[in-house]
Amino acid sequence: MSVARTAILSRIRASQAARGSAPDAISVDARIERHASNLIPARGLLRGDALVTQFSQFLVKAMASVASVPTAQDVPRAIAEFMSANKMSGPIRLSGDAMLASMPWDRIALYAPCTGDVCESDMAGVSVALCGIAETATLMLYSGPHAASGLNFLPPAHIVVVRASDIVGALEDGWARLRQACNGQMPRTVNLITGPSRTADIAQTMYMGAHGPKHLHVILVEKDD
Amino acid sequence: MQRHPAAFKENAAEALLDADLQRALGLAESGFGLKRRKAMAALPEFDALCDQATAIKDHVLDHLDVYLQRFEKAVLNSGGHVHWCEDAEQARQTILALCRSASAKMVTKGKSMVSEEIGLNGFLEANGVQPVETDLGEYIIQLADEPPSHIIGPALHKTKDQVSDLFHRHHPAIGYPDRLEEGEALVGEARSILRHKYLQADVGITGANFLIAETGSTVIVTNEGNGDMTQIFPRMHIVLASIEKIVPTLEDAATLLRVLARSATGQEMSVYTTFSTGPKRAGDADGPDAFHVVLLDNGRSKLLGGNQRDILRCIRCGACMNNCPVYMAAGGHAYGATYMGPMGSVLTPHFAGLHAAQALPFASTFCGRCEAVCPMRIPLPKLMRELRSDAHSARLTPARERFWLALWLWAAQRPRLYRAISSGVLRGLAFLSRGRGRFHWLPLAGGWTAARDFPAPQGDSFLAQWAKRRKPGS
Repeated sequence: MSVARTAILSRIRASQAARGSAPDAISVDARIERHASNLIPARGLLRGDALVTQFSQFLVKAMASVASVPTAQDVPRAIAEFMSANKMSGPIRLSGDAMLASMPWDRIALYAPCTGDVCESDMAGVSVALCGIAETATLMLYSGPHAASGLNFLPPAHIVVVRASDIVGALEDGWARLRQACNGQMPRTVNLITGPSRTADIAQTMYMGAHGPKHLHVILVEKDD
Repeated sequence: MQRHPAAFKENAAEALLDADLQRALGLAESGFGLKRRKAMAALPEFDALCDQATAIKDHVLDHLDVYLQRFEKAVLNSGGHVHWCEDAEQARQTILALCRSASAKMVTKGKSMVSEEIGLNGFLEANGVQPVETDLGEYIIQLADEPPSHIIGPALHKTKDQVSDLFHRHHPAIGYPDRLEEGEALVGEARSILRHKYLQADVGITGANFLIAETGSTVIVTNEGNGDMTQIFPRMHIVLASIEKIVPTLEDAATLLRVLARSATGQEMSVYTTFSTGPKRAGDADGPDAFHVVLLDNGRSKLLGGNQRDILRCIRCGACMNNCPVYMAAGGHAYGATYMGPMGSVLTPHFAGLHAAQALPFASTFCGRCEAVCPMRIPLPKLMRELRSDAHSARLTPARERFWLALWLWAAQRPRLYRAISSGVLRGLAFLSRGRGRFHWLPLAGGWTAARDFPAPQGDSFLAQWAKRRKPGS
């Protein structure tokens, strides 16, 4: 191990000794192992229909737009409506998520939906969220063979499909879902997304679409397949 | 503006006369304050969350050596690398070596104050690697060749007109000939220029708001999405972070995230909070092939043992400067240092030495707003007072000031003499004011009367009145 590492750690230990604190590896490991939740605000403890209602309300507050569809089969049509309402043309880049693969994309061939690597000419990216967090209307997505993280950032519009049954209360509920989905292994990238890209770096004025997507559109699927 | 902390007084005097700067600061002061108060009002648990966030960081500092090793192990397990650096020079050399190993000519950068702390951009440039800042604020000040004036709004000191001029000076050479006036068009131009850079860069460098010991993840919090494109597309992702950024678990990060954005911009969550763990995995659709974390000490391990340790809890939200009357009058550049405002006035003397930065702990009225708004409960006025005291003891303060303080101390230790002098002065001033109630000018108080009147005393001292009015027996 490096000289710097040894020097830094021994200076830290000397400082801790000077203050009379005794670092305890066993209690640290136990605390990490337990990964207990701290205080969760009341707004993160909702259950049932209230979850979806708050999630949708907070999405709008975060400058995103939201639409509800009865089943997964209705998602392509809802995407076409969003594209047409915003006067956008294709192509639409789909993530490799299995949920998207079973949808009837041929109905919106006009927008040239396709899978594969995201590129600069794509007008919209479509992803599936692991879950939606009602506490702050935050979407949780993670990278893997099924999803490129770049899809969430490069196209001017980001469309995220989330099942109503995947709306959870607090960020801590999201972590529980993630640990389950990934067998306790952290994926390369976990994106928590709350609204579309923005900046206030010019004279404290808010402008949308700084580098990432100008539009964030969430499609809630009411019934599971 | 002089770029060293000893020039604070001259810089502040200059800043007060800069109309553009004052206009920019005026916008910032009203905006930040209102947004933060709204966010507080919408979350009744905010104070309790701050207490927990403070306890988490104190716990980490108590066990920092263990946590750093757990973090390192988790990074290695996920296929990444950790580089320990004692000071700025080691960190610069480490990053340059990594860039060279990737044959990098151009690197994109997400916003990182630690990168400013170690002077990374100038160093990379001098060594043939072109750094491109991608956060819009950082991009603006990179064009202007200026340091950030605020830790979360680096270009907060610039007006829209100044940004227009700056873009018009630099962008015609790369195919954007028009001078743009509208903010939206300026954002769009920067967007389209930087878009290609993300895809061309060989290396992406980001900072980290948090390092998670449990998972070996590094966390960035942004609104633009630039930090993400900086790390997704290049072959190598380098994270530069200081050692006190450790948080034990994902659950602890949730608590800190709840107070960070609300304190900073008044948002409930920033738009993008991204957890990056190791390089891309086998079969992943995208992501970097290599992941390196550069851990910087730069004096922090020493700070940990002293009476100023509380400053290591800082999560860089900027609330202290947003609510500081001195910062909002003088602006960030007046401090002549990487970190500005109250948190900067505490940190800078530890980085630059008290001899070079003794002016900064005095750049405060001790009104206490910084401490009141700090989500990590850092007693900033107390820390600045200790630094003032250290500067006085080390005879770093001006000789004249020390003379008057010594004289005052001598008198204050002799209560009867002190009261005699003070009541004499009060009566003398009351007489001299001749019923006008104020002075336009007073000897030895030119600093006060230059900008406002000095109120004339209206009677005896508090102690004298107390003695006179006290009812017998009470």
